[in-house]
Amino acid sequence: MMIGEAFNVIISMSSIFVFLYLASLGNSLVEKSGILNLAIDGAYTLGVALVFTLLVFVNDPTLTLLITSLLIGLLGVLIAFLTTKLPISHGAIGLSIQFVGYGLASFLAYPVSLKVRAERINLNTYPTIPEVVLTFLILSVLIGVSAYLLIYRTKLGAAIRAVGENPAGASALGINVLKIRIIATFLGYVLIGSASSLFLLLYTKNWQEGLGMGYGWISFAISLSSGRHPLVGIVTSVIFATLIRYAYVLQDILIGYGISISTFIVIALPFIAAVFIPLVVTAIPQLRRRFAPPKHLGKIFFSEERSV
Amino acid sequence: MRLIVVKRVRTSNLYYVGIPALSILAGLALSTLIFASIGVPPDLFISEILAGFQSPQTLRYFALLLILGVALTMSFRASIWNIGAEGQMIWGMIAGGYIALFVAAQSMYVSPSELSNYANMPGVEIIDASPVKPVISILLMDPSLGKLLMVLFGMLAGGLWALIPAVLKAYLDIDEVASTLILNYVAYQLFNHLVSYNLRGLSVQARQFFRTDRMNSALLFNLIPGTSVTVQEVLMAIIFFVSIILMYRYTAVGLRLKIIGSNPQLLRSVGVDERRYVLLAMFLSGMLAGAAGVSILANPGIGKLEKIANVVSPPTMNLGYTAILVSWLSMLDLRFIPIYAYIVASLFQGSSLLQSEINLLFPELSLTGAALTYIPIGSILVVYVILRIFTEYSVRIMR
Amino acid sequence: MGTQTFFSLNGERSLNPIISVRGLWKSFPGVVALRDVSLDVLPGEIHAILGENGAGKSTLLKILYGIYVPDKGDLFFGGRKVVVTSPQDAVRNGLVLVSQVPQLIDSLTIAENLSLSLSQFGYVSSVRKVSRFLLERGREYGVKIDPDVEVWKLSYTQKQLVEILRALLLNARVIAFDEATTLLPHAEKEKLYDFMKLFKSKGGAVLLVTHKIPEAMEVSDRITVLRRGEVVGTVRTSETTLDQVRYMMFGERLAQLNSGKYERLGEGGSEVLIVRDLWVKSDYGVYAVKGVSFSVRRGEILGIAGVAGNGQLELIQALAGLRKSERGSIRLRVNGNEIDVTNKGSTIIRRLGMGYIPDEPVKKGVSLDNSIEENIAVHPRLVRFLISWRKVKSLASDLVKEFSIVTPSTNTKAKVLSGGNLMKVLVARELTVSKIALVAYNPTRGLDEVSARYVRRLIVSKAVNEGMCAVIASEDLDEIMELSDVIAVMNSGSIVGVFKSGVSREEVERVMVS
Repeated sequence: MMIGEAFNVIISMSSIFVFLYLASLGNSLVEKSGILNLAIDGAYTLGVALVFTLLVFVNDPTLTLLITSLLIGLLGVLIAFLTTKLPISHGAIGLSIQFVGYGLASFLAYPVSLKVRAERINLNTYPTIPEVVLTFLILSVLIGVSAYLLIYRTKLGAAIRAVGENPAGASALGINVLKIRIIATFLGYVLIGSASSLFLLLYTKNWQEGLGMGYGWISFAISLSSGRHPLVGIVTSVIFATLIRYAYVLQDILIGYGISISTFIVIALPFIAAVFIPLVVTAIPQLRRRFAPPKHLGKIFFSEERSV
Repeated sequence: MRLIVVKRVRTSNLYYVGIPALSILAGLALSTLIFASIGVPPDLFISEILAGFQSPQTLRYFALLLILGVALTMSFRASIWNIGAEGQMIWGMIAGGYIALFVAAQSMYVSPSELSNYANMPGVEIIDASPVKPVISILLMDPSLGKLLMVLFGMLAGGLWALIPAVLKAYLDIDEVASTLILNYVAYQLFNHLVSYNLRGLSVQARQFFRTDRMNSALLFNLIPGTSVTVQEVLMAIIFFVSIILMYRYTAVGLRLKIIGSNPQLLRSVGVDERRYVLLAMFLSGMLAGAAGVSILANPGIGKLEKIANVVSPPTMNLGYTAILVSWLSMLDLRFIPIYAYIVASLFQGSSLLQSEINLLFPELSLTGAALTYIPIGSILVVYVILRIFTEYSVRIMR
Repeated sequence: MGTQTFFSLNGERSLNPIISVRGLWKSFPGVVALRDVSLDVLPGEIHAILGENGAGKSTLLKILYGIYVPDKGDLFFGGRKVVVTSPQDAVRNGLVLVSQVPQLIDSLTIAENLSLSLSQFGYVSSVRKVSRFLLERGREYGVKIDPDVEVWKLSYTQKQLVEILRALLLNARVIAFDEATTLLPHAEKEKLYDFMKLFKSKGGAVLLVTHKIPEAMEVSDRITVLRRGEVVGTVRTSETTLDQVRYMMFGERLAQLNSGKYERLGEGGSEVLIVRDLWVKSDYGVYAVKGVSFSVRRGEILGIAGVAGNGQLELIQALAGLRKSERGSIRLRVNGNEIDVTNKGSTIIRRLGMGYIPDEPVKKGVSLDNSIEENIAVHPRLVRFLISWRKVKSLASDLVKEFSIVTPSTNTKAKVLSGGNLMKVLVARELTVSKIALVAYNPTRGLDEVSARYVRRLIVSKAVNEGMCAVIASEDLDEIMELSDVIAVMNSGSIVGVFKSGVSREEVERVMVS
């Protein structure tokens, strides 16, 4: 009986876990190479809109998942190129791309959504059956473990970390900083693209304007709170997934104690956690040191600097 | 053949003017192309955008963007990215609304029979003339004092909300872009909660929908005739603009706020606690945003607080994000803010004119307000960020 | 006498140069760093590039290494004209650079660091394989290292060793040392020289960039002297003298440099700065300062000597109120009152009249985007709530005159100034506000010889005339020897030796490395 209940809990939380974890994993990968990933929410929202639009024309969830992931991955490559080849502020370009992403998302998907409603099109998303959900769950964890091995056991991982800590030193050691960053951001954004696709394909199953906005930031917060570590991210994603899944249960529990929180607070809970949990993690000195960001994160890497 | 980017030996002032101008043109050109791809005729796009420059509505956005532009520039100059102006404005609206509805005036039920007595009583206004449970609003203080309190409390609320990410940044070095942005979403929902429960109105409309009562119209700001902008908004814009410029130029605090943007460690090493200046910069920024929020609320066209249905179109009209454009195009130089506030306001108004034209002429094209604002803003921003480097760097071709 | 050219290799073409440079020009905003520089590096030689700070040696190396792109001029490696746009290009051409600051990634292990340089390992190869490889090759070269140690745990000498190992693993034909020996203790320096001689005997070449004439005279075969970005001449070390080289380096300004010892206050004077049993942690959470105690009297200059990385920086930062002291106390005696300033923050310390010259002055001491006036007005002791720009302007012009700061005006943005002049602005400001004490780290780093001497003279004169006490930590032992009344040597976080001025340099060095 207990196993059955536990199983149900896992299944119900899995889809949420999957889209949170994959995006945070992608974010971690990008930021480990030193790029401050402020475009994440725009990419996320765009990914959701993209997969929706594609789904209406290409009726296969897996195919749309792959195409969207690839396209978003290319967006990452663009960001890597701009921030590394040109002395551009990471934050500035990230924010700008975020807004373009929001605009493009509405632009692309809104007309399609009207069409869907008018013609009562049935979207071929993934069925929420245990087999499918579990497959993605296991895949995500496997991807996470591979990411861990890649980052901490291989030369490529050492190169990515070197570029994030000290790109000048990495360059002096013989690394092509641009190449490494392109690899890291491509992989990272492919993950973000797949997360946003699964957000729709596995969870919401439908689209409305603004869908996905904010979830990129939640994944960003997860990545931050886990020190951008692939394995620790699993734990943090579970915490957030629980919060999102069981928020309404929490509401009921609190009513039992005489505290009534409205639906609005319930909606706000994951966002509040996204501010609160990084706060807690950063406030504890041991965690703060272990989870410290790469030293050169967000700093402009440009070789022609003055010397004194 | 390779492209090398090299730091300039001499920085050219020509670029300080040319780059923002070029960014606007290029960004608009890009947007025209994007919209043309689904069938929006480019000449319609351009003519509506240009119409924005002459529309009387634009003045309103101009005043708001001026205030917000100064607010954001203050924090950006301190190297703190305040992307939370939306949330700070929301809190300004909440605080201002609270004062307007419960402190400076108060709504109450009266019996239907007495309703006519209140029709002409000074300081009393009929909010809801429903036959069952009519509602009146009674002024509890001098309306000028009431308006002043609204603004002051709005500024305080905005400033305090901004302090949260400020403390996180100053003492824990938590990235402020993420925290300010996420707090916007929290603010929207808290707003909804407060409006639906604590601030909920008494009138029938308020009961039925999730909103407050209408404010007592004595507390509304006064429209400048022929426009949609109020006297108070314009006054606030001028006062904030001038006083902040004076602060930067003539006070030690202002100088430190400037320097913390380029080198916080310098402040630390000369014995100034730079964390306090982080807090100050954000607090000031939030205060001004809060004031902008109050102006939005107290505009006669609004006068009440309503639940936000979709975070894509909040009552703050995403001006908190649009203002980023104003601030950046001004190259963080306060003197240029009025110019770019006007230009961006015109673009903003232009895009809403465009939307109504499209709905009229091309109903089959479905373009939302979000697409029409974010795409031009985003395009201009992206072009600007890239072109910006040319003020300090040049590109050379090496064989 | 004008600039004579000293070319003793006219017409000789016995060996083809490994590296050749012809007509190099490089400018930065506000300064021409290199003017028409040409030289050759021959196989089997140790070639010293000598010049004072700011002469252009570092710029030249950075161009060879692909970090800077020259405005004009050509580079030749092995007779072929090449374009070097990145360190990888330079390495491919056979040049490896060992710089004064080890270019290793602190948070990664030695194996991870070196794996990045070894192209025989693909990206997906495991770091463990690289680790094993390094152990083997290390044994071959007679170098003992543990490849899985994180680099931040290594000592300075060990890091240099890793860099040299890297150069060997990359089959370098030319190894360039950019002031890399300046911070090494004497014994280690000798070992390094032995290595250089061995390397050249195998046909390789060494480029030794330094500003210390004795070092160049001791170990090099040829010396090229740079002055203000120009090549003054190239000579055979065996055919020249120290004075001749010195003249090439400084030209007519030689007269200004003969200062000798400074006047002193003499004994006596009350204690001003009292430090008891101070324990301070480094950025990595380990103790960098372990139970240091000393006191400095009025008008006394305490020099903190030691190999970089032994806690001097953390000590200075703690004294300035910028780093937390875990244990112990720092007290200042002002107007007869003893005030405990431990962990009270920098504000109070500055208010009491302490000046501070930080390490990394450009990063921490000045703001590049602001003008000289603003960089002065930033100091709370120099302005009130409302700034009187008239007063600031006049103070600024006085300082510009006094320190011979080269600038178009006091309103110019700091980033236009050269590194040396920026440093002067910083030092000028700090010396103005230092009333009772000055705490400094490398106060004359990067300054040309004349300015450096001026700054040192000023510090001494403030000590002598105004009773200011000073704690100066410097990586330049010569500076410490010149300036200090008392020398304290720090090694591994503790003071291991205290000497009065007049002690021999060898004795101090012995204590530094023991």
